[in-house]
Amino acid sequence: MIADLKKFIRNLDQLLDGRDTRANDPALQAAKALLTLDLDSESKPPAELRARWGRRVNPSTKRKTFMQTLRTRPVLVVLIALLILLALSGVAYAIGKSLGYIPGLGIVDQSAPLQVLAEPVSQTQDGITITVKDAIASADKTIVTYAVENIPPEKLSPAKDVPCPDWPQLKLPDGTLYELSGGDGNVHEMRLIYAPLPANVQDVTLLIPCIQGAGHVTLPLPENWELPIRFIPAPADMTVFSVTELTPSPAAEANVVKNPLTITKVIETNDSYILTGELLVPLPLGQSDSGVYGLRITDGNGKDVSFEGFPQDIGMPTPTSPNAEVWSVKFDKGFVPPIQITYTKQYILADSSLETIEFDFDAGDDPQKVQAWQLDREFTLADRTFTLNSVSALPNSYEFNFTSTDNSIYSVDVVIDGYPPDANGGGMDAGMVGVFGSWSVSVGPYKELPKGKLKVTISHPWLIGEIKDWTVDWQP
Amino acid sequence: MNLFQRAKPASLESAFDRYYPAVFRFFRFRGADADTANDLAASVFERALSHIDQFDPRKAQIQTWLFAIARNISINHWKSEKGTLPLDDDLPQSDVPLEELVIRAEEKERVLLALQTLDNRSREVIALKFSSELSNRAIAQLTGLSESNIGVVLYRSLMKLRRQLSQIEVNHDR
Repeated sequence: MIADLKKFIRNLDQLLDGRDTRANDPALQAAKALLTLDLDSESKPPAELRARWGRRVNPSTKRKTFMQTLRTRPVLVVLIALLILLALSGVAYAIGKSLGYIPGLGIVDQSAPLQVLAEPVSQTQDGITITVKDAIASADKTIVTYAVENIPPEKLSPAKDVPCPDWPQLKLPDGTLYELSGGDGNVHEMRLIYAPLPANVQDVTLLIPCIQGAGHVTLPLPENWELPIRFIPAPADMTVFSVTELTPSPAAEANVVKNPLTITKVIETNDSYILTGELLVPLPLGQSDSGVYGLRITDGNGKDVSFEGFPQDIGMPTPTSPNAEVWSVKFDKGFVPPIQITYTKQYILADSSLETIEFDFDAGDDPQKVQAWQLDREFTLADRTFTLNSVSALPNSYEFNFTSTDNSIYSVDVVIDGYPPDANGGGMDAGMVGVFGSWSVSVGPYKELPKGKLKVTISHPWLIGEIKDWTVDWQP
Repeated sequence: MNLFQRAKPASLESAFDRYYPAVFRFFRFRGADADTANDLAASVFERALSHIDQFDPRKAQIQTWLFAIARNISINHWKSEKGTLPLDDDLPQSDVPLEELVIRAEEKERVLLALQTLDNRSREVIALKFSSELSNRAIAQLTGLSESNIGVVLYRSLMKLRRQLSQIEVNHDR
């Protein structure tokens, strides 16, 4: 039966892969009937949702084409000759867009007049105050920052609570709701990015369903905040630093093997530099991306330069191609040039073993009460030995904590049989901590933690793969 | 200074185009008509958008994440709306017997309706497998079944589906 099943699965996979199989297995005939159904012609993806998805995951999709830019900016035609000359030197400055960096807010398109917050706005509920401190409306986005004050310390334990699940929205006068397209921050301060405002809209309302970064259920804070925001034209003396976009010239690309690590933007402020960049490399054969990478900056003397990774007002830059990984750094002036940026990536690979380990785990009737179980159980899976040290009950997930003297193991997959995670929280199965020799796997999230006697399955060891470095040099 | 962070894959950008049709097919296989399947597929991407910052590529592939959302939405939809076809193992609530509906339907609807005569677990595993070719491992993660069990369920479900289709053809020819 096992051999038959394996053959069936192999044949089914071939069938799904578009390779017809000669097998006349009735199950495969049913599979063919399903595969030949024409359902795609009925699929009608909403264009508006598609556009919103594009903006949300990559705001650059709104960028104008070069010809559109030429039509709206005749002066650019004059500058093209200059651009061609610059291209011969290997690096060209992109002139099509006038980007500016506003400290605390970020990078904005200045091709249309900027609008800024008329005055800070506050709202207080149960002694907690939210203040919209800053905001800007530009041609490419709307950015709002707010601060939360006077949160009682005892309520600042989001790890013991279900985190606030809903993001703030921007409500326009006609009732249109803008969903968040980017941003970052913490429980005390948030920077929110939305789509650009329509022309002639000066008044919007920031709707905050619950406070991001805070608990939502067991330690709730006041909810449903509404803060009116008024925009006015930006003052002429507002500080806006210029942003230089760097793109390799066609000449350089044609003649030189392209460095997969590139710098895409440079910002010089009064006392620091901000660089953004990308790494574009294919996955090594048979390996997966662990998602773990490192950045290091050294100066002309080889000394480490201290930097801030992903400055809060820059965050995750928009990649210029779908497979690029992006980075941003901020460091003080005063270093010995040139600097060298080293980007390190760690890959992992899946062990092909189909072995599994099953064991029973009694979480009791009230897992939250126990919170942690010391197990110290040793297992061997696919000839690799490791120890399950403990299991912790978090508010909506279980965390399985492992160690091993075998430093080649990166992680394992863990499933609680019969309890598929609830996807609303985002994570699904294995959350891996990339510290060699020890790792944790979180199983969840769940609306309600599974309790009682649970059957746990461990499978698929993930092994440490290659570690690779790339470097790029830069000087002011 | 060494900063270790996790990278956000840019493949998110293409996820809408790649997976909307697959999510749509999932709802069709689960028994929704075309309009409802489009509405539900849109809901999946709306929900994914509102939680996109919580998506962690180390924890799940975007495809698996979207289907986990789709699975939840399908459960809630049929629980709250008593959708066009039952999700649970109950027989249909239509006055016309399901077998009769199947015979009347055109070829496409016939296959889809035959699918609805299977039990809930079989329908779900088939829908996940045939809408997007999810691996058995990913389906195991989504459903809580073991990976080897998925193969068995798929095999038995497809055998049952073939029998149903054969029966329908016999009845249809009469």
